[in-house]
Amino acid sequence: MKFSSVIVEDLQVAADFLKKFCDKCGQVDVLAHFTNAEDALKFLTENVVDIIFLDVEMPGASGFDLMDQLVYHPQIVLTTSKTEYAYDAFQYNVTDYLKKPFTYQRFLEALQKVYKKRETDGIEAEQEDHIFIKADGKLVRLKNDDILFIESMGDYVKFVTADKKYITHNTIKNLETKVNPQRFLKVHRSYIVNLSRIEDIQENVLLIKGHSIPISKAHKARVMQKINIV
Amino acid sequence: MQNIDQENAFNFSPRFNAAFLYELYGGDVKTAVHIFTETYNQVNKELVLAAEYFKQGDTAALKKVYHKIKPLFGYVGLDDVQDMVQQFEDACLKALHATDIQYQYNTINETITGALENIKTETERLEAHINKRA
Repeated sequence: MKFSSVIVEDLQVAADFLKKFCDKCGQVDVLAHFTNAEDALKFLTENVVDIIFLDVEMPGASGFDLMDQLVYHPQIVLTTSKTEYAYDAFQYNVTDYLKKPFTYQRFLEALQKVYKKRETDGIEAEQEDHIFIKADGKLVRLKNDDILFIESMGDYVKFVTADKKYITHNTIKNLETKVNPQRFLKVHRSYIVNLSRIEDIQENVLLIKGHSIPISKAHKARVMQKINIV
Repeated sequence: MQNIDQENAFNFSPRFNAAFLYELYGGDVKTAVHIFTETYNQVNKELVLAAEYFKQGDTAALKKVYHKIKPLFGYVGLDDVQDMVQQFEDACLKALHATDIQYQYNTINETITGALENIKTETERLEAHINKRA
């Protein structure tokens, strides 16, 4: 299976090389090339990709600004001519960091890291079948299967199971990175849902055990990609 | 980018990092011509902008221009020029006024002008190589 990708790069020569490398390896489809973060964000709001080849310094918003605003987490391969961003790259957990100009061999090494990260993320996610939350003055173990959805309540969140609700001090943004990404998906800035508990989806609303949960425009593409449509 | 046919391989001038360029382009001389030409045109274009920003005293905008053209020198195997542009970029970051970096600005532009001459000559050599093989 090929990876889907976009190139976000204001230097045409660098983008041309990258596109050539993607074509040559036969494992990466480049869906689009953008010369600024704003246009890329518009595209990525409505389309889901596996990899973003991302420059850091561009006219307007930076590559890091773009990562801050993404509603899902594709693998990021930073392409920059400065090594000073290495610390930030580490903080953002990017898959690889390519210093321009880079060779085809170096590009292939980055691609290997993409494969490896996908594999590792998958294994880790499969192993996590529960989470612990602080509620009622103790740590409560919740099985992933039992959680229907998680709802934001300002500085608190509500974990909803079939027979109980738990309110705990946390945020959806924080939980988004903590829950098992194979099982849970943010569908709105205030909601994370258990994908296996979705009963039906109508337009911009999904139903779980009688609860209607909105799907925001920004998250719709990701939801449609994650559910199994035959 | 492809296996080099030793017999038809292009010999880059000593001014350029030939080892890296062979690795980057392989025997793809047409791509090399394209990148050398693009680099020459884009750097010339950006230098006009840079002059304008320098005149306005806008060191932040000036830094952005040099940041943008910096990797282009890497794509044509002029690593030393790329490093020097990086140093100028750092100087822009520290400068309070454009006049603080007047000397560095003149020096980097002289270096770049020389590099552009080298790029132009090498592009002509690359084109001649293609024509000879045709």
